[in-house]
Amino acid sequence: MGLRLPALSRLVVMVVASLVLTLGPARSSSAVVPPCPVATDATIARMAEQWAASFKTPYCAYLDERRNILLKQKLVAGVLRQTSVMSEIFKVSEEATDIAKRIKKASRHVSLKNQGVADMAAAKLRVLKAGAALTTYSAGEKAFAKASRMDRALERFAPTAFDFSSRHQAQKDAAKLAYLRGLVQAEELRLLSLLKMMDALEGER
Amino acid sequence: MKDRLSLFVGTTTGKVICGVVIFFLLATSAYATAVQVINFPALMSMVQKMVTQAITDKIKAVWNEEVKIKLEPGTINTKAVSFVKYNISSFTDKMISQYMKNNAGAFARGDGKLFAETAKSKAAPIIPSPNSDFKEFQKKIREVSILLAGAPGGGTDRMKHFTTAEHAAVKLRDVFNQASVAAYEKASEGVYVAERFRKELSSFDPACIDSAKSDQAVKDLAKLAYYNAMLQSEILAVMSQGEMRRALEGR
Repeated sequence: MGLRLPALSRLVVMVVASLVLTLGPARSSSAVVPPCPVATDATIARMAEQWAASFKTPYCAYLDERRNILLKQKLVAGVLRQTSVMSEIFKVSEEATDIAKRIKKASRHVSLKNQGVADMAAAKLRVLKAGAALTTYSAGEKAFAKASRMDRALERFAPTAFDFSSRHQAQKDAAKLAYLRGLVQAEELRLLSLLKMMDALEGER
Repeated sequence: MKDRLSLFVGTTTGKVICGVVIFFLLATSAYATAVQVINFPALMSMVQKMVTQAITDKIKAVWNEEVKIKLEPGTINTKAVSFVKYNISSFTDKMISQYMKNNAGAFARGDGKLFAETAKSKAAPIIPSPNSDFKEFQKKIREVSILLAGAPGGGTDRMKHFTTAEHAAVKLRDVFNQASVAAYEKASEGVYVAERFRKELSSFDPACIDSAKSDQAVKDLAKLAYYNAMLQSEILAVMSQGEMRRALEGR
């Protein structure tokens, strides 16, 4: 039954068999030992790709999510909603206060017959002054009406609302308020200028 | 079967085969471990490179998108806004330093032709409409300025017997007339600028700011702050010019 070999032969057989098994099938066969996944460059690259993807995907998703949240915040409207209504107040045309018509009307009452140059110049300046006074009064009346309407529109808004809004909304509201302030200032400039024109036309010369 | 296997393992051959198998298993395990340990740095380096590249690409893409948003222009069209361009100062300076010096006031020796023509012209004096062209507007303003400047007085020959106080009064009256012309022209510019601002910016609906991004709103805010500063400075100029004139009034 037993296979009888001399001791030396048994030793040789044992060594040869070990070498063959170790360097041969063990290296190539995957059945004997689970393969080392990093044994070849291709395997390393494939594994690296898998690892990279597993890191990349959640990171990119996080960045996209943050970016979308930020974009959404940037697009949220301000809390001062009635700005369109407020700007409409200043869009009313001033054509009704047609300066030329008023001055022409006033000049009809001035007689320029048999007058010297100085008298004619003074008469013209008087007409201009009367026209400027009419225009200034009319502009003042309209400006006061606009300011009152603007006041009422602003009263409906509580500035504490800014405390509960985001920075992005506050920025938008600041821009809208700057726009409205510009319209108010333009009205102020117009009225002040008319007043100073009227002032310049009067006084002793 | 179990007995036969025990008997076989007990034999010399069985022992040799078992020894070889155990040796084979140990050697294979050692080899695989060695290979894995040797290649691990290569794997990590590759993974590190790939992950770094992927993350860098993503950050770049997001940053580029963010920069693009930041570079978007505001909603106010600045090209349509022209009110900041109108300035009458140099026009007024010329009127005072050239015309009034020679053709208006007590010290002027001019013939007063332009003053006489303007005074006698049949055209009714008007405060021009700010809706007209700026040059046309200036022309109409100038007609009034000539009337305000007054006629030439004929020079110092007529002031031989004037006292110091009378000389001072004459000079102050001339300065007052100059101040009146300057105040009138500056105030006219103020009316023109105010009307232009209203016309050019009232077509803009501030609700547009709500639908834009906040980065655009910040740009619009800066532009409007600039326009507000312009208007404020115009208000200051008109007011100061007028107050200078008022300070000379009645002297």
